[in-house]
Amino acid sequence: MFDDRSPIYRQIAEQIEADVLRGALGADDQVMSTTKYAAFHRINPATVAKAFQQLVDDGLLYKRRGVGMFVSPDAPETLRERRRKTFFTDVVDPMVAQARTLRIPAGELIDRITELSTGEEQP
Amino acid sequence: MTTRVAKRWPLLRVLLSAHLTFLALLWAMFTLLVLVVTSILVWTNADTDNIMHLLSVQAPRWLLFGLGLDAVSTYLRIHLSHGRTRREFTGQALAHAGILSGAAAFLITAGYAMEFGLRSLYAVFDWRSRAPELDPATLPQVFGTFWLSLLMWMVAGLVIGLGFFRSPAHGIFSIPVGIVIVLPSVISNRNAGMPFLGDWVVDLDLGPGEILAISAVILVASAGLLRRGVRGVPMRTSAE
Amino acid sequence: MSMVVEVDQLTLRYHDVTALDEVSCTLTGGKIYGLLGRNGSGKTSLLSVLAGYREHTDGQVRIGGLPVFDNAEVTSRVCLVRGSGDATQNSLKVADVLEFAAILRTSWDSDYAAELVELFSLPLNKTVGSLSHGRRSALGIVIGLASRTPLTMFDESYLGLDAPTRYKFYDAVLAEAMAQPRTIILSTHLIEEVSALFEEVLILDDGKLVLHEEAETLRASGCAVTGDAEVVDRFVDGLRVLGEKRLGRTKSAMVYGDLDAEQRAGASAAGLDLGPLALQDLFVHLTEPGDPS
Repeated sequence: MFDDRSPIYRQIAEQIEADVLRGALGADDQVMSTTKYAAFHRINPATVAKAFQQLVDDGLLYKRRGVGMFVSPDAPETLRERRRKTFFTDVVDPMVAQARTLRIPAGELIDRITELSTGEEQP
Repeated sequence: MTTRVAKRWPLLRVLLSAHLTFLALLWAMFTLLVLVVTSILVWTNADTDNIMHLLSVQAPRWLLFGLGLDAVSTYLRIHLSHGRTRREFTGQALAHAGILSGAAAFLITAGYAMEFGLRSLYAVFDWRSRAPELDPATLPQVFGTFWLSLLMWMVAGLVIGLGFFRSPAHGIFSIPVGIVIVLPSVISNRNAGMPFLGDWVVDLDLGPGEILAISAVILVASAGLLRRGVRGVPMRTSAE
Repeated sequence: MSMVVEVDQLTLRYHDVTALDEVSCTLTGGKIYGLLGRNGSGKTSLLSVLAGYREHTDGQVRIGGLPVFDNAEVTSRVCLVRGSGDATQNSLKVADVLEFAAILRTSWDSDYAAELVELFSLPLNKTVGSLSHGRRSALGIVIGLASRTPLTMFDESYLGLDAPTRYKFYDAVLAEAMAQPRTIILSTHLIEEVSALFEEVLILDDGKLVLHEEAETLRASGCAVTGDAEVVDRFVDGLRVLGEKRLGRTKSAMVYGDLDAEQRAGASAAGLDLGPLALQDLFVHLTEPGDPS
């Protein structure tokens, strides 16, 4: 589940962020304790603690002394905001570059996007 | 974490629990065998003396020698692997040799005592043992002689065992040292089948006092040798 | 007593072999360390010195500020299991091995040992010699864990264990490390499976310590640069290159060290591909025979 190719704490943080974005972790939901998380995924507890600390620093989690870590009420919005900022550089730009290599005309791309978006708006 | 009161002489307790049971079991089997065989021999009116005497002298020596080797090759390793020190080892191993050889001598003496009992039994059946008569009053002397002799053999086992624990070369050099250690017992018991040694040692004709003195000197020297030998001994991996 | 391990210019020679060559490191304690190295790199030698199994030739070793060799104050708090362990002698029954451990090891936890015996389904009445290699290793693991020593070291103790049992071992180690502050050193040359457990990693090669780094830093610090051979050569000039692979005009160079944003932008502008480097690759390259670094 976690690989050695990038810091594991970053992978953990990304996984929890994904859970928050998907709605699997809601506002004020408690997240697994460091020790449980470490035992469950067979990861060094210090690594897990580092990931959780980063999420706290980013305002996505908050600590309640003696109880545990919880999802901040505004975590989903914070995340969406952050992802929006990088969405174009992370997702769109490579897609356009790829389309260009494959000689897919920009118009076709736009049509597809429009098609998918309107499809989503219908129930 | 469970805390426990540190127990005294831990290695000695381990060694005794391992070797005493073993010794007692062997003795029970051996004694039974000897009693059965001698009874048969006496019944058939055969000469019983030589074989049994040889067995009761030779077998325990080599057994105690082997247990001396084992005390080092098996238990020094276990001792060190549980975080115990080399310094602790010598004293407890020597104490163990003293107790175990005493126990063995006691069991052998008990065997002799049983033979007295048997003789009275033979008399009932009117069998006659052709072995020389033994005086029950000599039993303490039998015990003492065996104890000293077996102690020396076990100490020789410790020394040679430690030699080989250190390195094969040390092991080979420790063999002659081991022979010197058992010499007094060879003299006192007559040279019953000791390889490489002629009968000249028997001809020395030393008295018990002299043998005791020589043994004491050798024991002290062996203790010093063990202490020195174990001091920096590396615990090699089994693959090495 | 804290269990800080301080190794300074440590050298160990025996049989005309230099097993350890001026190794220096400090392990602050309470962590899980990975000691990596190929066979014969000096892992067992280093651990043997730390456990007081061997006396070092030169330099200094201190644990909790005290000298180690034949010092009960230190060795009673250190446990090393080499392979299936020196306390597991073939002639003894499993039950005896455990009983002797209980007598000799001051910090022995019998209840925990019984739990672990159950976990690894060890037969108490069999002799160690009659056990399979895996079971013998498991017995060694039981001894290491139930010793509850502040510094516990396992030297290739997973050998012969099947995958499910290895995971039981890893889980037990992790649970122990979290339940009470114990310093645990795992030596291995199979990295992928265990590396997530490590907080810090030490790599030995040919008796020398070639690397001591936090595992997470290590995971971020390698990088594979792939592209046209000439461009790659120009880009990696001045960087620490661990190894190179070449296929036709394409070349891949393993670079050790973090690249800054400018370098990354430069690589991308030059048409080079920057890929992550796995710990395992990093290890293989750092310990390659004839490695220039």
